[in-house]
Amino acid sequence: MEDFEFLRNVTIGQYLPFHSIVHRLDPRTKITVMLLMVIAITFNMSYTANVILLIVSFAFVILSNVPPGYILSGVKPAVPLIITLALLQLLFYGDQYVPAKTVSVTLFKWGWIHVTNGSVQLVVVSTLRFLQLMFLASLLTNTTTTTHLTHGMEDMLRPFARFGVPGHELSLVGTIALRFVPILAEQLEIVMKAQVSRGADLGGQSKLAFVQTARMMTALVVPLFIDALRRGEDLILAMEARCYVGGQGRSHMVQLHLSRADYIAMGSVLIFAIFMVAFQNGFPV
Amino acid sequence: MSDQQPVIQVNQLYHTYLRGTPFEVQGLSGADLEIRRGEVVGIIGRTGAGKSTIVQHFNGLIRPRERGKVIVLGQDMADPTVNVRSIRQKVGLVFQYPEAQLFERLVGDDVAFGPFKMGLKLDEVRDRVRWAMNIVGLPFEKFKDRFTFSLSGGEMRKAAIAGVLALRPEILVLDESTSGVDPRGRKELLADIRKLHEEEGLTIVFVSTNMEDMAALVDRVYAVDGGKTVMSGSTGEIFSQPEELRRHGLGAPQITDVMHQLKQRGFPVNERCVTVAQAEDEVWKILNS
Amino acid sequence: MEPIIQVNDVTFLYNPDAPNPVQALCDVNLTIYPGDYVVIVGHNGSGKSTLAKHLNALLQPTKGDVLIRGLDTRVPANLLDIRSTVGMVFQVPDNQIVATVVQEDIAFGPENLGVPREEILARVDWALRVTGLEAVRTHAPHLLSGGQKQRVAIAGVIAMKSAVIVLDEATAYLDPVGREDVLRVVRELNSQGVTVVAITHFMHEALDGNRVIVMEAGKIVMDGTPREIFARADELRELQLDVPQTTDLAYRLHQRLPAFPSDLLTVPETVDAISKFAQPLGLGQRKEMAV
Repeated sequence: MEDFEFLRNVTIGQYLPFHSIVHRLDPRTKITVMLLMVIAITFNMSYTANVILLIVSFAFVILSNVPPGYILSGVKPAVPLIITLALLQLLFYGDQYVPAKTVSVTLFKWGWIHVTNGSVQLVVVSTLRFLQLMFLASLLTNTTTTTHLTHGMEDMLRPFARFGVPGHELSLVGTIALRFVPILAEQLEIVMKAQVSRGADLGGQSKLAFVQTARMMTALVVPLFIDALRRGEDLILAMEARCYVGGQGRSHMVQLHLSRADYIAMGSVLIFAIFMVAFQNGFPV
Repeated sequence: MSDQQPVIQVNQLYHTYLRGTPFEVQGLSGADLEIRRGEVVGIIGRTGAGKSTIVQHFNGLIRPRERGKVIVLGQDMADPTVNVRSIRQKVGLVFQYPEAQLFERLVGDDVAFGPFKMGLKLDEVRDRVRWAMNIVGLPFEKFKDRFTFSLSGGEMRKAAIAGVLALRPEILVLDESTSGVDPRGRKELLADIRKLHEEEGLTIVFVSTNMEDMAALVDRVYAVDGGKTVMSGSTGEIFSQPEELRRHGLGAPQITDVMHQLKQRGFPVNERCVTVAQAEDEVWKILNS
Repeated sequence: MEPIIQVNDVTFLYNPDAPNPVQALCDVNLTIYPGDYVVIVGHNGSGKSTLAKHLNALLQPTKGDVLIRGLDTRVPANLLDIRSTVGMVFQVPDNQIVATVVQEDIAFGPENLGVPREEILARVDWALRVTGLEAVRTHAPHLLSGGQKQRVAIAGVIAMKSAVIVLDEATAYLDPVGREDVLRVVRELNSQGVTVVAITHFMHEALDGNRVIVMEAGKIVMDGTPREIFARADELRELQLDVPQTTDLAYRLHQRLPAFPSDLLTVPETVDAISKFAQPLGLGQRKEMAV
């Protein structure tokens, strides 16, 4: 891993100031759309449904003018993990899932390894779901400034304040976390470079790799953690100095308006989601 | 390899940041420089000029992928078969805010990280750690078992530098090591670096945004702006061009302005003064005539 | 004129209940008037940053009191008033910016104060103009330069209409260009009547102030105009503090030639003085002179 440029892989949380229909939508619309899509995704295990869902998710990306390649490059660090999980599911989860309207057909069996049509479907669907969620999540955060997002969330959580839900505080925590993602990513890059300069090997040699990797993780995680804590301490002081005392009595510069486009977007996705959930067992494959 | 060959050579080096993303930006556009063995060379430039990018080529963290050549200790850094581990032992790179890389519970362990990674035996490691800690001003016996994060900011910085010195590099590159340090700490640090050069014969590359640092430490300076080398020469030569320095976002020390303006008024003074003492002598010559 | 900041016999101990409390401030007295530009210099550990944090009630004195426009910083009910009167810009640019869009971060302070939306919009526009950040108002802060980030922080403070702006080593992590950008804005604000308290270890920044305070080991050891303070070069040297290069040069020339002024501060002054003294002596004439 000679290429250290982390910023390029941090696609979640990075607002891209393009112009698009999606950018102009109210954040509450986008949050609602995402929730509806997640529900539709959760209820659908068939190949057909997931292809449809992937196409729809991808359509949102196209509508937002965000380069799909940019979002996909954010998946890259997770690829080894995905492949590992996929393999585990494929090889060992044969008994766990039987696709609707079919029986379990064993494709390969040897010892603990049990590959069935079920486990194949599980793997494919899981991968498709992962992509759908990447598009939706990255989409939400790439087209919405974090303040808009938090205003949207705060607004949507406000009715639950009577039940003790700290909507404002949660939103602020979210904002700050998102604000510091690129900063900590840069810091991680620096720490990695510093340790590599002292002879640490992040590429990973095969022998004793696990022991070395654990030690290397400490060399990266500890400095990063301490850095994050320091920044947090500083930030608290700065916020207090600017009279932050919690959500009570705060005004808002950013005002949210629902327009016709918002109602159309929410309406159509709602219909789509209802259809997908109701029809989940009606898909051919 | 004769000592006449530069230990580091950079020719027309180009580099793009975040290549292939929407945030792509040209970093280096033709940087040139040369470091010879035993020299103390400064690289100065405003933030974002490309200084860190250049020096990260010296130990292979960044490789030349576009145009230009980087030759370190005779090795072409564009060649993928170069033994980078060996280069990293010989060219020690101290990053900006080096204390941010500390992670071990005990100071001695952190300084020992590098030597252990080199595969050295415990005795050899201990010797190197002792030497490195003593030379930065953190006496080995007193500090080796201290908790790393209980140290003051300045002490942590020294521990981090010791961690790099423990590799026993031939060339030491310091990337903005005086950033955020108060004047007293800065003087101490610069004195320590000078000591390393004089007593241990290390070749030093010192990166900074601060002209006064250059005056105190280096013989030769490269000024970098917009990703390319824009000025190069002895410290005195660079100092005699305040307008040029300002154009590249560098502060000109007051002495430079004074001498330059006196020269413009027709006084026969040598503009290449780098310290107040030198300026004093020059001005005295014209007052005393 | 009523003082805007009054520090009375303040002593501050870190960990007062510990066996060996660290005494950061010892019997500090300070009065600051509206419109002042006070520069506080000293080494790390001199107490200057601790003092700064007393000015906006981030710290409370162990002994003595601090009054901001007559309001005692130890009274919790005064906190909001005090902190909206005295704004602070901190050392590390990134660690004081909360929002991910410049103009939204500037609005953070006024929002906390419950300022009506129309007013906030007006203040944000004005703050962007004064700090020269209109072009980056919708940008993400982490992509800005250090100098720009600090100006965002300043904008966030002035949007609260603070009467005092405290800069707690705000230029420490900036390059010369960034430093000059920040100082230019601060000078402009001071000329518009904002009181400035600048904590710094860069001695040459003291030239901007109308008052320089030198701190050492928790005490104020010198207090005067820049010219007065830098004239005391020996004392400063003993404290291991620098003087501007011009003052150093003037002092050295003064040692050799008593008629030469020792209290020069700026480059133009120095060049003029040298020119004046060089002319009458004539150039090109060699003369033996006792040193």
